[in-house]
Amino acid sequence: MRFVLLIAWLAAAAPVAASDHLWSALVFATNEKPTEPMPRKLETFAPTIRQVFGYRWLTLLGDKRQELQADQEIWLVPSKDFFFEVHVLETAETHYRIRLQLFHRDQSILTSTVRLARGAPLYIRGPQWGNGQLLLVLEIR
Amino acid sequence: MHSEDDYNRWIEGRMDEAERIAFERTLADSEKDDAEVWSRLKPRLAVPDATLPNADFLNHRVAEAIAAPPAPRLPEWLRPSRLAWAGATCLILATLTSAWLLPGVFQPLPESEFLSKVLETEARADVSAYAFRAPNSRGVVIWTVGTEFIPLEEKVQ
Repeated sequence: MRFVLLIAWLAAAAPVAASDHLWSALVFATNEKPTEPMPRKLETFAPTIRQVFGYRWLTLLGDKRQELQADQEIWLVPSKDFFFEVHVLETAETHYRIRLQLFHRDQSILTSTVRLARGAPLYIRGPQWGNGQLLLVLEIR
Repeated sequence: MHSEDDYNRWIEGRMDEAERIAFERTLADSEKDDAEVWSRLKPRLAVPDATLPNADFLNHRVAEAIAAPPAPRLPEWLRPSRLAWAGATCLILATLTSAWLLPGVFQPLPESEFLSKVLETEARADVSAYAFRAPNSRGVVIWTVGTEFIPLEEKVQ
């Protein structure tokens, strides 16, 4: 009886401790239909990208997924040219507070502190590339 | 006169208390046949002065009933229905205790908890950046202006 009570108590009281990952992607958005179909990884982001940035077609240039831990600094390198340095400042039940620095090759473009909720992506408008736009997407998974 | 079924039910303990007492009272008129069986059976009778009827099948059934080892029975508290009730009670108690001690666990979190938010952004000198909520989404956008154009001929990887 005591054991059953203890298990039930722990199940109800334990904080969410599953390990989360930070996924980042470098995306090329354009209105010219590419030769390859849109990758499934980007399908969920397509409506928002179309509405915010005005592009219909997406190409995944690179992506990377990295496990997140409290008070940790990681390098997130979705592509050779664009990458992030991420410092996890705080973990909470629904979100992470991170400080990220976006680099284009050896130059820092911006530094930002973001409260990133699970499944609520961050879109960063990058440089224009040819007839389209480079976008960076980060999401807690 | 009792039927064989009555005797079987009596020996196998399938009579209720009143029926059993009434039945054993009637045995008082019966003829004792097997002294040994009877002496072992007598302590079990609800009516101590009852006597055993002279019936072969009865002697046989009594001997069988006495000789057979009692079927193992689970302790009362291990019966499945008791365990099920105990489990359900434990779950309810754990839930109520948790709700009392940790009220936040059972309260829905505000919607803002599930939204991403840019708290601070600083871009390099030649770039400006501002943030806004992505429409119809829980996501957020950092919009940069001033990043250099990359010609299509230049490879991005």
